[in-house]
Amino acid sequence: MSVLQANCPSCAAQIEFTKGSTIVLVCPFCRSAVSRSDRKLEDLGKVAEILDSQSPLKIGLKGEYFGQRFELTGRAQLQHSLGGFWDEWYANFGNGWVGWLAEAQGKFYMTFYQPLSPGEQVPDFDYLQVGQAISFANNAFVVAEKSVATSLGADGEIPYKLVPNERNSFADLQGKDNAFGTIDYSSNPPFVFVGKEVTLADLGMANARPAERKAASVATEGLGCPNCGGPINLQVPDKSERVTCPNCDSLLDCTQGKLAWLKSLQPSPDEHKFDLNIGAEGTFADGKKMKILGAVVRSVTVEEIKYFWHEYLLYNPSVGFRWLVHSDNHWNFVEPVNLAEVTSSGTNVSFSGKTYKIFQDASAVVEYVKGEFYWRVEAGETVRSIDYVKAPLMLSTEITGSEINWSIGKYTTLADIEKAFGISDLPKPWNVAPNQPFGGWFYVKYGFAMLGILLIVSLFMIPFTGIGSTVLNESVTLQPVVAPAVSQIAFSKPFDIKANRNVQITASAPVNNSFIELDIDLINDKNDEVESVTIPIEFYSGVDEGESWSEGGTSKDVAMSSLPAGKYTLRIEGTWQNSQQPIPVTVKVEQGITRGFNFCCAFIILLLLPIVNLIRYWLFESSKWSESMFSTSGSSSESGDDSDDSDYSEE
Amino acid sequence: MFKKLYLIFGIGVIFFYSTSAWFGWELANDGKNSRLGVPFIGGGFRGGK
Repeated sequence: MSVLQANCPSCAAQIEFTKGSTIVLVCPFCRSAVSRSDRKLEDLGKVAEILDSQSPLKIGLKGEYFGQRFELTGRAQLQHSLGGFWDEWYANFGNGWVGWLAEAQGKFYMTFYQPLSPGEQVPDFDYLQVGQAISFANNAFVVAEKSVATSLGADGEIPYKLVPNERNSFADLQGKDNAFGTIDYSSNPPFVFVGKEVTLADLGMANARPAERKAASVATEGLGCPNCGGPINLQVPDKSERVTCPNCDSLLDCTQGKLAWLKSLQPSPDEHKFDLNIGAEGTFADGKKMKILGAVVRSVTVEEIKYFWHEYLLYNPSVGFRWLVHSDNHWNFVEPVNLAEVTSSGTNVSFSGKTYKIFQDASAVVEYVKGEFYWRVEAGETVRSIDYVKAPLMLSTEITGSEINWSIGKYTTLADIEKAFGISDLPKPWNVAPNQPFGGWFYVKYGFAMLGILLIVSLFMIPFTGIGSTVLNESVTLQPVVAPAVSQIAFSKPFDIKANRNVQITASAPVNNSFIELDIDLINDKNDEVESVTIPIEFYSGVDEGESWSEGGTSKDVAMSSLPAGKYTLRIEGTWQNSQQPIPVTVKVEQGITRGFNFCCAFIILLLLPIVNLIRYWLFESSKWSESMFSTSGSSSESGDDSDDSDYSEE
Repeated sequence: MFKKLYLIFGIGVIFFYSTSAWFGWELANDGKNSRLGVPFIGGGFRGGK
């Protein structure tokens, strides 16, 4: 079809179909959806005004995708069956391509109609399962969601016959490398659209910025709380589906900006008091400011014990929604994950080159809500929640009958949370979190690294410590004395001592069931300075109750630090048991002896902290996995305490 | 902060070991009167003559 100028069949105003592929044009004057065929124009009925979603996109905006220029010429707004809505922008390419740029929760997806190959079939909607693998035209996908969409409104030119308020089933698909697909069950056989998740920068639209969002302060009678009339401050009125009244604790439906009372919430018990306030703004690692829109108390029941935690919904127009999870005073910053990137291996899963061990598999129940949410949250809402851990990350999946979501949480320290929100005195954690990284790895890694350095240094030092040389080896005979208490003295011949070499003196004497004590002085011949050592030698042996025994020996050595270089003489003063007999004494002086005592001391000192931290790690992992339904190997465990064989590693 | 102190301490240990090897100092020193004044374990105080 070609460009067409005509009169609106509803209001007779002049309208123009500027693109050949346009099937439906929304009359800008009366908002009738005008369909064109080869023969005539048809009024499909009035379409609602587009709700302001603060989108950075607008009709007429131009972009580029894989080198092909396109222009946004139309916009359809659809509502999800669970609440919330999203925009689909009609992208008209210069080369004739027709694409859809979907915008939902701050993310963008460019898709194109994918004709099916002969014999290729689309599964029936009723038989489609979330998590099911499916492929089209060699693209492998996983079914992420199946739901029903309602046409809310439209603007500009649309390439299909849009029927206002029509409800159609659809399934969203996710593939690796940001591949994305949609099965549209509005026709039989269904349409398949395939493409990719993109960023505005990918489309050459990086300069498109969302309009500065202003909180819509609704204080008028008509838009105040329908229950108590109190004012309600909506942070993102275009996206919020549920809001709680801070004045009367009512849960309100706020679809399309209109508030409707749903029910009164049970007051939050004291133990569920939120530590962060709704509306508080935090600055996270990438410098993005995110505002807390809502908070939820959730619980799981394990062995009849209920465990509670808090989740905060964060929002930034250019980032979308994120979560901050607060459990046992531990914090996690949570982002969504493409489920097609997650692969299962037994009970564990792999994502982004890392394997995560299963930690918990339980039903998570919403206990209490506060603030505003982009979906129709209810107390009692239950999903199957499975957590997998690899510190400091936790990969989680939440499964309902119609949707499967994966997210990744990063353990965030208390200090980082306090810094992000500019607060202090948040309560401190009292136990180990499932994905809490062990803080002592630094001491283990660097401790062993320093031990390695010590070994290398000791090898290099062998020339200085381990090449021994004998500088004196002399025998002297101590002459008999009158009584044992009286000593006898002998001198050695002079010998040379080198500087910076340790000194070892070995003395030996033929003692047998007796002793000799030698006081040996090294006398520096130059200045008469003296270094003294005492060498007691004793050897005893015998037979006791038929068993022979002995103790001591006939030689002994002592060592001392280096001495100033020079010529030395030994003064040997001996006192021995059989003093009436002469006794020969042999004295050997060596230098540069490898003794290893210094090395052992340094080694033990450096080994101390790594060993202590390895023990701490073992206790840490034991404590962590004692809270799990599974063992560290991923198998189900009653006690869960089998961390001693853990091969768990941290970043 | 403690990590920095630990690294400084560890490097200090290695440095002290290297120095003792270079100068021939013995921690298990049996000498009684050395004037070098290095630490001792086995002998006794190492003062002057």
